[in-house]
Amino acid sequence: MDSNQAIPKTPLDTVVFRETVPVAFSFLMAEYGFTLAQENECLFTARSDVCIVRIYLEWGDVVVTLQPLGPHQVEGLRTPHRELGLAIILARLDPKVELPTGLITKPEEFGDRIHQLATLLRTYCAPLLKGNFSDWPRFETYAETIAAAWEKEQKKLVKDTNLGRVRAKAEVAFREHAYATAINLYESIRKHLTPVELKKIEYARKQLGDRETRGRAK
Amino acid sequence: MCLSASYRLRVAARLPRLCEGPTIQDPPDLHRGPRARREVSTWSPFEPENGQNTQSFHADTPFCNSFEWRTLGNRPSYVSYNSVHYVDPSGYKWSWKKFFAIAAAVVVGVVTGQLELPGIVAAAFSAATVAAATAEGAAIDRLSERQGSVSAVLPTSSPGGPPSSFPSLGQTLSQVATSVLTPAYNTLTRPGWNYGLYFSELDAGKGLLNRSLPGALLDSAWFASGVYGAIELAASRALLVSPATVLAPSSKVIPRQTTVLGSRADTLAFKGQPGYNVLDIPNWTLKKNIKWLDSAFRRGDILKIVTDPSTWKAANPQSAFFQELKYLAWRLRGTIDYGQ
Repeated sequence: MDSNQAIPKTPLDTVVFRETVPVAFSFLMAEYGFTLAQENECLFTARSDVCIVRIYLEWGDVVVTLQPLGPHQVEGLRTPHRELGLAIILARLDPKVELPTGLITKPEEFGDRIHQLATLLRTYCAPLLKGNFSDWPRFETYAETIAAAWEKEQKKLVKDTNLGRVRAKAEVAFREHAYATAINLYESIRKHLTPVELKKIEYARKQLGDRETRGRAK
Repeated sequence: MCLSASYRLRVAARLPRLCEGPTIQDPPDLHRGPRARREVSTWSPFEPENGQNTQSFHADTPFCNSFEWRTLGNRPSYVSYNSVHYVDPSGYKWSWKKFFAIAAAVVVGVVTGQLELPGIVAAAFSAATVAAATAEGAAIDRLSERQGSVSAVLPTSSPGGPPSSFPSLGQTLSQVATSVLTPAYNTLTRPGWNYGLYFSELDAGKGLLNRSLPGALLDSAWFASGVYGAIELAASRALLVSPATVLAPSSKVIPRQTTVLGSRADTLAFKGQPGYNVLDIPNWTLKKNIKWLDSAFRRGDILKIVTDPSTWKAANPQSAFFQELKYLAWRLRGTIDYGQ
């Protein structure tokens, strides 16, 4: 082999992930008849007749998800079945369970995180792994609540930043006596104006009116 | 004319100090001996004692230690670095030689493709290049994954110049908005998880637009009320050309790429593909992640979101991907409408 040839470096966290997951999740094969396969360097899939368990390697985290497979006679269970994270499931199953939190920055810590998650899955999700999805609609509702809250937060963030931007422009226009521009900008966010800004609009309108009167007089 | 040392000192004392902060005199360089003190108290472009040029170290000139001083570089550059023969006490001497040298460098850079001029300037200067890129559709393809919005913004393009939907700066904003941009904007703002694409396309054109359109247009109410984004998109479509068209292969300018955002497993599919920028940081931290995202913004990358955030939220509520999206929303503020 040519010594000058560059050997691509494999990230250490993927190495830890590849070596630890089959060991930590071996109980799935032994106890529930799952088959484990590595889809890519960041994803393992354990599949049985009733559900799929996916183990993701994320930036700074490891994620375990479950997804029901095939028809289940459960009231309120939607199809296609949704993939839910262990965090969502455990939050509904037992709120007292302490999930490992915090972003991992050292590759060697991924091993511990994988073992912790495997233990939690084995301890709390045995009915799900066996195919009992009676609680699944509850989990889905909770997941939707969280997703809706996130979207709301994101929209609020965008709204606030946009408002701030328009306000700043209007303020500059007002200070520079560009009253027409200031009025337009303030009007575009009229619902969110403060009493002071409303007074500024009135003042700007008055100034514009005065200018027109003066122009006609000339 | 030779002025006495005392006169020079008095003049120096009256000269205004343009900026605050440490100067050569404070604290005094006493350890350098009397010679250093003489340097700061007298003005001469040339030190007669040993023939050494000390012009750039004098502190008693009007813009010593000022912002201009630091940014404009060495004052001897105003005398062609030959302060022994030429004297330019003010430092503001106009040099036609320098002007023509810079102009020639710019022209050569543009002609050889080494330099990319921004926005309208580029469109006017190299209309043929823009037209070719538009006609081939290469630029548009590279800039967007969504051809529908492109056709809405740019319905036609003329072969001899920039696309006709954004023909010139002379066209009034209201005409542009009512005829072309309002339907385009309606197309763009439909709800959906993949709105990140809109952010990216808008942001890609933002820098160019801000440089190329007069400030009056940017300050108009249309921009504030949401058409702003659509106009930026139109400008980016019309004015951005693909990096391959503009930049020579030997260019050191980093071309725009498509930055892929999403869960780590989903982004792997784009890893190593030409033109795609995928996060790949050893010893990842959130700070490094945001820096990586910043570099994408600096290049004016297209941002491609490959993971559905609402689905991924159910799987991994604490994902770093959401931190990225949050940062995106903050960074791209002003480019999207927040609704009623």
